[in-house]
Amino acid sequence: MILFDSVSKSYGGNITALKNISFKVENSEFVFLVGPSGAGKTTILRLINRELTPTLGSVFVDDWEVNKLPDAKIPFLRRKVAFVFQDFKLLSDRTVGENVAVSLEILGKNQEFIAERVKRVLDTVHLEEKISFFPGQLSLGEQQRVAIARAIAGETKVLLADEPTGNLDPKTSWEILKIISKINKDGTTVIMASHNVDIVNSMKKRVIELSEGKILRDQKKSRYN
Amino acid sequence: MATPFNLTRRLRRTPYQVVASVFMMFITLFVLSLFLLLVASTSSLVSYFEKKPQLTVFFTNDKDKASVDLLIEKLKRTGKIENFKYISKEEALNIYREQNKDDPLLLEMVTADILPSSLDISTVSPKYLNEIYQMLKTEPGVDDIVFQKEVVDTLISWANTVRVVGAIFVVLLVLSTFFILLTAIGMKIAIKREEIEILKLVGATKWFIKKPFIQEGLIYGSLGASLAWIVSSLLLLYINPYATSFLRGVGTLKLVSFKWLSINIWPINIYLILLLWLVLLISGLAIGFIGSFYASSRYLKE
Repeated sequence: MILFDSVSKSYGGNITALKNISFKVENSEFVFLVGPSGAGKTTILRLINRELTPTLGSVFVDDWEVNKLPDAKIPFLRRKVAFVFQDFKLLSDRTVGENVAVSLEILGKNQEFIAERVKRVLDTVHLEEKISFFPGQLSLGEQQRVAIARAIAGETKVLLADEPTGNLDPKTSWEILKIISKINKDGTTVIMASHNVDIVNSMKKRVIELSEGKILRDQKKSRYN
Repeated sequence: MATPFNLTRRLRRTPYQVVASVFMMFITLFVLSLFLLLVASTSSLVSYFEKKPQLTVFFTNDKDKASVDLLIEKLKRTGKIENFKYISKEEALNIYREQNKDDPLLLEMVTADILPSSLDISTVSPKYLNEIYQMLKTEPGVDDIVFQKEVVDTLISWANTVRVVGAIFVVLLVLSTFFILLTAIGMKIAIKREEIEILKLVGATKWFIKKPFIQEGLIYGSLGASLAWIVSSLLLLYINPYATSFLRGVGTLKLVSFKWLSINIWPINIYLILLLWLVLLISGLAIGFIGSFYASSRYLKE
């Protein structure tokens, strides 16, 4: 469960990214955040994984009040709440397998478990044959699939995706969305920021539409015009 | 599968930094080992000489045993005497015979009558030597007094100089090593800033991120310590013949003595070499750990 309770976020003195917003996301839900650039979509995602803290209000992930978590607990939050970025954020000098293994190494899993789990997760994103490739040897779509594999390899309960298809062609975007949709069906909560009208409309999921830091609309099985 | 922080790969990527760090660690630990050996040997030597008879009083022929006993009682009452040994004319002759047993001519010419009786005296502390010397000088029947105060004073002065100069050198070198480690690890952290940010985003703890840098510091420490130990051991073996000649007559110089373990600094032995390795390794690992821990904590601050 993710809860935003009267959250406002200002950058510096006069830029307000979010203005007193409240919403709740239940476990295993799939939610799209939509709206123009600067509407506050990325700020919401970054508040959930404690890259940012709210200026006012509270953010909860399950029982944790995220904005009050001590620094030492932030890594444990981020193991539950994984992030998929538009620019992938892969380790360029590590192979595909090593990039995915990072999520398991930080959990202290043994090498045997890691090898097995990496294979299984890469199979989910259809990249098992590219385990020894470096990110530079992959297409953009494949790189995003590696990032998704890394995000779901560990103990992820929530997947945050910030424009994951923003750099991809339509066909590849659909492949990525299918993978994310499957991850959601397996029980992971997904919150995805997107500009892509076609994708949002075709999925018929809950849509939270933002504009200038306010929620304009929050509807289940909605469309985005 | 290699880990993302594969250590050998990381070290291979920055060979000059590795060489500079290990070399600096080697120099520091090598100087530390010289310092420790010098301090230990001079301290042992001072202690050895302090326990030797430090005053030898030679008596005139008319001084009989009874008056020597009275003198001994007088000395005992001062509370400044650790032990003494009276050597009668006959015992002096025996010593003379032992020393000159290969020269029959010298043996024939000497009888007990012409050798003086003497008293070997050790004081509780070298600082009482002069006081006892002044007291004995005025005693009737005292012909001559020989004492090793100057030898001991010179040794103490040497030992103090070695301690001060050595300690200053070691402190300066340890500081230099810290700065080299800070720079080397700081540069690596700067190069890997993006990677570190990604690791933080996927849930890596600070310790997980610091660990490889600390491992690097420990590697530098153990390599530097091993090199310093090899060079120091070779140096000890090289100077052994010269030291044997210099320390002729000096028996065993104890460094550590427990119930079940006794390690001598002289003659040079395998236990001393092993102890040196242990001390250098612990020092190297400590410098490497503290330096890299401090560097990674400082540069990984959010």
